[in-house]
Amino acid sequence: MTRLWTFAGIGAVIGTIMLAACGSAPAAPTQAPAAPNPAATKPPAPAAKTPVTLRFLKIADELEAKAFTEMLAAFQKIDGGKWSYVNIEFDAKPFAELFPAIQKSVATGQVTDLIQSDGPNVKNFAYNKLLRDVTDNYTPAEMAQWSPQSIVEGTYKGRFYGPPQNQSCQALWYNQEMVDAAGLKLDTKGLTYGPNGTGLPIWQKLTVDKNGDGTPEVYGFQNSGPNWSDYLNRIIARTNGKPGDPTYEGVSPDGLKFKGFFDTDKANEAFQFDQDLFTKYKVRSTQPPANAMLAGFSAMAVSQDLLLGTLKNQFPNFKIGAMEPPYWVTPMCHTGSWHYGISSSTKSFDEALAFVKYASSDEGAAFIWKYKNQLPANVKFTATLQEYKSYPRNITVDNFTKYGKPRIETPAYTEYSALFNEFYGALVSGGNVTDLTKQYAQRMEDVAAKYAR
Amino acid sequence: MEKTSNVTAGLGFGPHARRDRASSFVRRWGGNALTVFLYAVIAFVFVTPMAWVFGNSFRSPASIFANLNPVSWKTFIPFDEFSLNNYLQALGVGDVARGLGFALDRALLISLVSSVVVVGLSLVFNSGAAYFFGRLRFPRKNLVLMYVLVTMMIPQQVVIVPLFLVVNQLGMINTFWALVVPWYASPFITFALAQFFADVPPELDEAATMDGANLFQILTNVIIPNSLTGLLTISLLEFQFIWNEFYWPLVAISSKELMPVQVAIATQFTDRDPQWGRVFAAMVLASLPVIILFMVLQKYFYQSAAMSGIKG
Amino acid sequence: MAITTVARPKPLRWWQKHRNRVMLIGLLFVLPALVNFMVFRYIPIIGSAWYSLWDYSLLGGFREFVGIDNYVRALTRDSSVLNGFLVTLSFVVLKVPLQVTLALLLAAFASQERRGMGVIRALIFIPVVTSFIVVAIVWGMLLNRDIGLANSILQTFGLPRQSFLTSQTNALPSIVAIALWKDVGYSVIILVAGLKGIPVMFYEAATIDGANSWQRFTRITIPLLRRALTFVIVTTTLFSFQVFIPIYALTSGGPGQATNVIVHYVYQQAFVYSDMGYASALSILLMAILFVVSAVQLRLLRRGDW
Repeated sequence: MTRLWTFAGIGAVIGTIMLAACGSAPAAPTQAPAAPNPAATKPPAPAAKTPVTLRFLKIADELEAKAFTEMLAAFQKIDGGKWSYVNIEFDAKPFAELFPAIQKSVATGQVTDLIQSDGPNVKNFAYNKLLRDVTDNYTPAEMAQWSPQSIVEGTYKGRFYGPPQNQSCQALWYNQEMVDAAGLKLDTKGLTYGPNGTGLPIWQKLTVDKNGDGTPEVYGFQNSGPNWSDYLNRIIARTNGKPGDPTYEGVSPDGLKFKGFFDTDKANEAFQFDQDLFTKYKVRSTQPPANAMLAGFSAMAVSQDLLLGTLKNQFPNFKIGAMEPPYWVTPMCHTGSWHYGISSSTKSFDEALAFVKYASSDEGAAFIWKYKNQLPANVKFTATLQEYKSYPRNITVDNFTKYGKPRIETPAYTEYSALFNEFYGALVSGGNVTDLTKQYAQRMEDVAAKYAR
Repeated sequence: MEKTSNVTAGLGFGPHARRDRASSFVRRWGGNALTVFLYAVIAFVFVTPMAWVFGNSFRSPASIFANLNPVSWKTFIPFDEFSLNNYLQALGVGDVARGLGFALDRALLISLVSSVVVVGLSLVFNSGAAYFFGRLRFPRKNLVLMYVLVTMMIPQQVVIVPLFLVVNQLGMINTFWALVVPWYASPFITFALAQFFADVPPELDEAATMDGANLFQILTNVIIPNSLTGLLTISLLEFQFIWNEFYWPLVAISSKELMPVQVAIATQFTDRDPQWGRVFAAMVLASLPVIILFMVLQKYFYQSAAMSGIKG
Repeated sequence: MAITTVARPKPLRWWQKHRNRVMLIGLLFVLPALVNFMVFRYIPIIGSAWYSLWDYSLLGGFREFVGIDNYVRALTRDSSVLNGFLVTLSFVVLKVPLQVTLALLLAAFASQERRGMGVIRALIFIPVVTSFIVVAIVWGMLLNRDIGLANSILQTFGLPRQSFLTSQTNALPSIVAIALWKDVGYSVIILVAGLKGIPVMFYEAATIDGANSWQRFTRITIPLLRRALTFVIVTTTLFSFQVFIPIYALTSGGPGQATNVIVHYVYQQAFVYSDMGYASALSILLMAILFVVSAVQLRLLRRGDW
């Protein structure tokens, strides 16, 4: 009996000791190792400034963590150690939980200085006055560092809110061995969608059903990942239009109207073919496992070039080939990745701005590239990279330059994206395409309506 | 006759069923075969998913996917490669892992300490409350019970923002206390313990009162010793609740040093494909402590309860 | 109390009456817990109730006071709410009876002290301790239409392949099965603890009196297990009504709206459709429903207990 109380007491005592060891004050911010700064060896900076710690709300990613640690150390040395008093506390959240974490952080009134925002979300954050308008803090020369798509993504109603950290674009990757085994010779020109397009026969050839049970062991075509994201799956509909027409643009210029953009006849035609790929021709799986292509479950997949990182680390024996992504009438690849945003609740605007400028400069982008190996947004910097000059990676950067278009621009992107996901799931299950697009276009407009105010 | 539990007395199988039937030898065989069959079915149904995770935690991702389809024994047993690399990396052992910033060891420690502290506090405060509900007389006790139950009727997702504001006012956000203080008492645990306390025969209370015990002494010397199995079972459940907490630490804790294990595992999923072998290893590590605790509970308390002869 | 030589004893103050003192001391036992519930649960609930009266989004803040309009919208203008409640009800009606029955059977089996039974108990408990991320990944793969083990098994028996989580008809039962697999361990260990508390003597006495297996089960086991069983039934119902994580991790409410249980819809409203005010209103409605359900259950099951 007393045993029990002893146990409870010991537990509480251990807890208190541990607590004291951890330190009951808010835990120390993650500091760059070079924080005891090298300014000691240089002429001392005029008046030692009080240290400033910027809180950076971002995704938890071990590679980014390394990149930013080094970047911060370098940042503290620039301009003769001008910013050496600035530190950063990285508040890293799991990828899927970053957006809710940002919402909760804002709702609970926590002060943030920097926010890592997914490209399409910048408009939403700008609408909610979450980010500082930095249009006047950048010169045209500075803006020219980045690709035009990045600037579009970081802009809302003509005002600029955040420079890009990265970019992205897709290619059609394929399993070279499977392609050879099927006796196909592929060049890099994109395949075309449509019942009479060049893509279908190739995918049918690559779909393998050895035991004839109706379920292929290998599917010919896949969009990477089991989640029906707008990023990969809206492209087919948009490519059935021409630049400037509603199908291609995908949404009204103010980002609020979807009827007449999402459910046009051309879009319906494209989505119908897409559905047929699943249900009629059966060259696409309705439930692709993770890493479908690298793991051998599909022969071809549309994906960003981040795939190559996974390949290098996890599937080193895989032989990969690449070509331009498939399209209907107008080739296109969706762009957009992370942006740096300065929070409107920040109390250290100058320091935050300086860091963001450094991070999004060619120098800063080099750190990100070193670890993440993802397409940079800095045009000049990308041009210096050897990896993007050779096959197969050059396909990605060529696609980006030639066909890169931002995802549909609307402050209601999160809502739209969730509805698209639902729509596509219903499409894949075999619903009536025209009814679905009409229904969902209406719903998308309904949820976007509140952003009209 | 072996000293087995009579719990299955009414259920048609087990030692007593055997007695009810004709041929002892044949029935002995039949009973055993049925039991073994049930063992196999239960093991298969409950453990296959975790067995897959466990077996593949010793493999590299390429090997995991290579053996995934078609499903066979190869899917579960790492015959082609076996390495502890994933575990070492997850725990942050070795330069590579440290460099990458993995620190599951720290997260495991945080989870362990917070769970232990909460269970300790709960034993004190929830027992008191359960004693009240299960034993003491008080007018309108039913209303107070509903007051307690109502707190379990609202989804966590919605109260999490106001709860944060409350905890922030108390100055506990981003400290160890945020993981512990809101849970020092819990309606579910109180309600559960109340059931077990109420099952203790009231005669024992009366006997103790006649010996001059006050309410507190009745609780510590009568109620608790006689509901030990229930108490420990519920403590185990509470340990497991705190251990598996995800959404609350996600919002209340922003520093990496205080991140508990479930959040730490979730951070392995970035915008790129995760390294599945390491993810599996992390998941096994995260599940082990509670399972070990459960095995200890069983060995120590279930068996000893059976030995006493009074209780089944 | 000492007997004094005062002619007339003073009337006792109310806190000096023994019965009331017992009550006060009793209150002391429960007070810390009640404080916790008030501060960390009730105040946030009141906070949510306040949010429910506003057009409030997490990012946008409080936009305008709408009073009960959120409630009116939920009850009259939003078909997803009715769908949410119906889906949830289907889930509860499937899961609770199955879980309670299965848990009872498993508990009866697993509470025996045989060789290997400790391992069996641990195996039943393992799904409880696995995180939902694992559950999502593993069951997603098991139920995968093309490469899943479940379909392989079906095929060996000559049955046609099924879509589980991507089929409108099969999705909810699949989720029920997965949730059942994961949660039955909770109920089992509580019932085992309860079973262990039934004295062996009762069974022996009953056997001597000539009771058969069924009678022993219904007249001894079930009645003496009533409290634990009530607890399991009430809490399983409460938690099943609030099911969220399996849906969030496995189907996101789909396909279509087939698995969009009410709490998942609440989550979507709060974090995707930027309407925390509406989400709060829905939660309060849910709370009201659960209040009624629990009150009814307790009345039926407890029968004047305490």
